[in-house]
Amino acid sequence: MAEAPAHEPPKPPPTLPDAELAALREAGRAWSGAPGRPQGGAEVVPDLEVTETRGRPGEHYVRVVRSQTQGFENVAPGWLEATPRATQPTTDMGRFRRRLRTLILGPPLSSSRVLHERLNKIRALPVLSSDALSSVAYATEQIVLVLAVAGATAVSTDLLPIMAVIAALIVIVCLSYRQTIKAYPQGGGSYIVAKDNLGPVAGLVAGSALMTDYILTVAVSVASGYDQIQSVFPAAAHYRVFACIAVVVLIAVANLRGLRQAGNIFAAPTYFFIFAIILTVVVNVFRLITGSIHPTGTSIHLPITESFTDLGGMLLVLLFLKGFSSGCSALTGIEAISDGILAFKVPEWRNARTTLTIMGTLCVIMFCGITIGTEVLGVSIRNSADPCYQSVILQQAAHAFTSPLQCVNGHAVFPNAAGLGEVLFIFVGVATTAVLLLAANTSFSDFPRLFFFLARDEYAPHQFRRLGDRLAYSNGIIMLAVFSCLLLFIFQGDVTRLIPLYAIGVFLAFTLSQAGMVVRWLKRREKGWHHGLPLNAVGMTMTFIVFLVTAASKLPESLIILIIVPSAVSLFLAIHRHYVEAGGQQTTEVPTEPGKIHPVCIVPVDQLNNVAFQSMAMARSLSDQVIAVHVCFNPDHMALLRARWDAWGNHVPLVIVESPYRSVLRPLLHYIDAIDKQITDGTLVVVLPELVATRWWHQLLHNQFPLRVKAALLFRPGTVVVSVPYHLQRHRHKEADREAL
Amino acid sequence: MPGFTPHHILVPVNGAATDEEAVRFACRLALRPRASVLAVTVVEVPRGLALSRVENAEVAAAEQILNRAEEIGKDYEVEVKGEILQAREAAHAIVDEIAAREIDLAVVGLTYRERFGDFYMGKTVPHILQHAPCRVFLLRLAAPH
Repeated sequence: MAEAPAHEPPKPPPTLPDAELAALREAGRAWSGAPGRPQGGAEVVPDLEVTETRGRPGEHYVRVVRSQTQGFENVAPGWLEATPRATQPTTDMGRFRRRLRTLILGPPLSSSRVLHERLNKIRALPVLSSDALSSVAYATEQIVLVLAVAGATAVSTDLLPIMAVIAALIVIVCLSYRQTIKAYPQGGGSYIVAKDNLGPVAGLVAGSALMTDYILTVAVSVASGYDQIQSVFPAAAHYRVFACIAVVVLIAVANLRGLRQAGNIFAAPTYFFIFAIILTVVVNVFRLITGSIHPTGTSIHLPITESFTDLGGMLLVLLFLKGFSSGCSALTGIEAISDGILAFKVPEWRNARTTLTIMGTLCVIMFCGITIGTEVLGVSIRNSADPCYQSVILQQAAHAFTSPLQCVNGHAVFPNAAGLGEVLFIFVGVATTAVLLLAANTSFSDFPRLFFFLARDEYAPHQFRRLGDRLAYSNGIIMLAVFSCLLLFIFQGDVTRLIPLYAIGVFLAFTLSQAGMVVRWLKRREKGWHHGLPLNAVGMTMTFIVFLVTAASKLPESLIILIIVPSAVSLFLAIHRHYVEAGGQQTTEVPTEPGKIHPVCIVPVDQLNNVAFQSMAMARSLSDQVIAVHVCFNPDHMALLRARWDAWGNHVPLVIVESPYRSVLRPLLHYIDAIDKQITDGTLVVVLPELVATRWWHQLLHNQFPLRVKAALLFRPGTVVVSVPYHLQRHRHKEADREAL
Repeated sequence: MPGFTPHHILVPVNGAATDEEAVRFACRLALRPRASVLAVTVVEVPRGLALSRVENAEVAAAEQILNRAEEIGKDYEVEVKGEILQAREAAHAIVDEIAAREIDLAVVGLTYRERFGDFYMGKTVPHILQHAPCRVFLLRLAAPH
C-alpha cells in the first residue's frame, strides 16, 4: 500500500509582481460585472464534505460523506489533498499495470517523503562517487599504455611525475568544487554556475558538454565493465551488446525505484571496491617492506615500431601530455557531488562538501597507491585483446595475494593461487568489475537533475521537471537509458570506439564552472574571495589545459564535440524560445470574460437516437444557436433521417451535407469552416456525440469518427470541442441477447 | 456461522476499548470472500440543535476514531471505509444505516458494565440486537475479575 500523505501547514501566499497583479485585477474587474448563469440543478460542494439527510420521518439522521472516502483529505477550505485511494486505478487493466509497476519500482511515495528519501553521507558516497572512484581503476592503465609507446624507460621515469600532477589536479578541482558547493547550496553544477556568471549560452555549453559526457559515461563504464567479464569468460563476447543494454536497463530500473533504493543497491559494490584497492595497496607495501616480494621491471608486450623507440624531445613532451590527458580520466565524475547537492540530507551543502572531501581523498589515495604500485612492482603491458591481458589492478592484486601472473600458452595463470589469497584475488577482480559496471549509476543520479535544472529554466521540455512515483526524475532516467543503449547498440559496445569521445565534455564543463566561479568572486568579492579566487583560477587554468590536451590527443574523433555541443545548445535555445513565446502570448482565441462568449454550436449527428439527443440537449443548454449536421452519401439514409427529424419536431435545425465522394470528415470540416466565417461575434463550439463501449475490443467495433474529428479540430484555432460521451452498459447487452434469442 | 458468508459488514465504533477488537474481527471475516467493511461512528446531536450543526472538535474526534479503524484495515489489507453519522440517537441511526446499506452482518463491540449490581448493556446495543435487519455478532470483552 502507498503511504498516507502528511500535509504541511499552508504557506503564506507569495508576493506577485506588480505588472501581474495589475493585469489580474483588471481581468477580475471584467469578471465581476459578468452576468451569472441561470440557477438550476443540483448544487455541488467543491470541498466534497457532503451531508445527506436520511432515515425515517421523525428519526432522521445525517450521513456525512467524508472527502476521505472519496480519495481526498480536506486540508483547509478550498484545499484538498489526494490520498492513495485517489490514485488507485479503477479498471482491471489499470490495476494489473499498477501491480506490475509496484512490483518493479515499488509503491508510490508521497511528496512529503522527499526529505526522507535524501541520502546521508554514507549512502551518497557510493551513489555520487562511483564514477569518480571507478575512474582510478583505469586511469593508471591509460597512462601506462600511452607511455609504453616510448618503451620501458619512459614508463618508469614519467609515471610518477604524471601521477603527481594528476593528484594535484584532483586536489585543486575538489577544493574548487568545495567553493562552488558553498556558493550554490541549491545545486552548483557546471550548468548553473556558468549560466549565473557567464551567461545562458555558456551555461548551455556546459550543460550540453555534461549531458554528452553522462551518456558516454554510462556506455563506456558498462562496456568496460563487460570487458572485465569477457577477459574471464571469452564466450561472453557473443552476448556483448545485449548484456550491456540489460545492465543499463537494470541500473535505470534501480534508479527509478528512488534515490534511497539506488543508494542501498549500489553502496556495497563501491565500498567493496574501496576496501579491495586499499587492501591491495597496503598488502603490497607490507610485502615490499618485509621482503616477501621484490620490485620487478616493466615488461612491454605491445607491437611497437622502431621509429617510436627513438623519440625526440618534442615528441616525448607530446607523449607526456597525452599520457597526462589519458590519466586525467581519474577526474571524471568529481563534479557529480556539486550537481547533486539537493540529494543530500540537511544541511545539504555541508554534507555535500564533507562527502566531496572524502571522495577526493579516496581518489588521491587509490590513484597514487595503484600508480606507485605499478611503478615499483612493474607491470606487464598488453593490449586488452591479448588473451594474457590482465588489468593493472589485477596484476597488483596478484602480487599482493598470490604471485605475479604469468603468460603460459597464451593464457594468464597464477602459479601459486590457492586458499585465502585466491579468494582475495577474486574479490578484487569482482569488486573492480562491479564498480566499473555501476559507475554508470552516478550519471543516472546527475543527468536527470541536470535536465531538471534545464527544464526549470525552460531550456528543456517541462516533462523533465516532474518527479516520478518514487520521487526520482523518471523522465530523465529513461532518456539517459535510451540514449546510452542506442550508443551501445550503434558502437556494438566497443570501448575503443567510444572512448575517443569520452572525457572531453567533462573538462569543458569543469573549465566553464571554474571560470564562472572566478567571475563570481571578482563581481561579488564575498567573504573568503582572497582564497577562493586563486583556487578557482588555478582550477580553471588546469582544467582548460587538460581540455585542450584531451581534445588534441583524441583528434579527429574529438571534433564531434564541435557538432554535438552546438547542436544541443541550439536545441535548448529553440525550446526556450518556444516557451518564452508561449508564455508571452497575449491574444486569446476565446474571449476571457464570460459575458463576451456567445457560443454557436454545431452537432455532427449520425442517427437520431439517444446519443444524438443528449448531445443536442447539451448544445442547446450552451446556446440557442445550434445546428445539427449530417454528412451522408446514402439517399435512403438521408430520407429516413429527415423523416425521423420531422417526426421529432425539428427542435434543432438539421443540415444534411451529401457527399457523393463518400468522404465524411473533409466535408464536415469544410462546413464548419463555412459556418465559422459567418460568425463575427461568437465562439464556434463543436459538440461531439461519442459512443463509449464497455470493453476495449467492443470499441473497435464502432466508428472512430468522433476521435478523428477531435484530432482534426485540435489544430483549428478558436474552436471549442465538447465531447458528450454515451457509455454503453453491460446489462443492455444482456437484454439485447435475450431479444435476439 | 456455518454456511454464511458476509459481503457487507458494518462495525459501529465510538472510541471505546472494544473498537479495535471489533474492527479486527470484522476484517478477519472480510478476508474470504472479500467483503466490504464499513466503520460507522455516530455523533449524537442534542435536540436543541439542527442535525447538521456539529462542533468541529466532535467531527475531528470522530475522524480520528475512523482513521484508526482504517489503519487496522491496512494490517489485514482490507479496505475499511469510515462513515460519520449525525443523529439524535446512535442506535436508530445505526439500524437505519444497516438497512440503507444492505448490510448483512453487524459486528458490535461491548464492554462489560454493571449498573446497580447487574450486567448492563446500555441502550444502543439492545436496540441494534432487537431491530437490525441483519445478523449481529456481539463481541463482549472479558468481564473483570
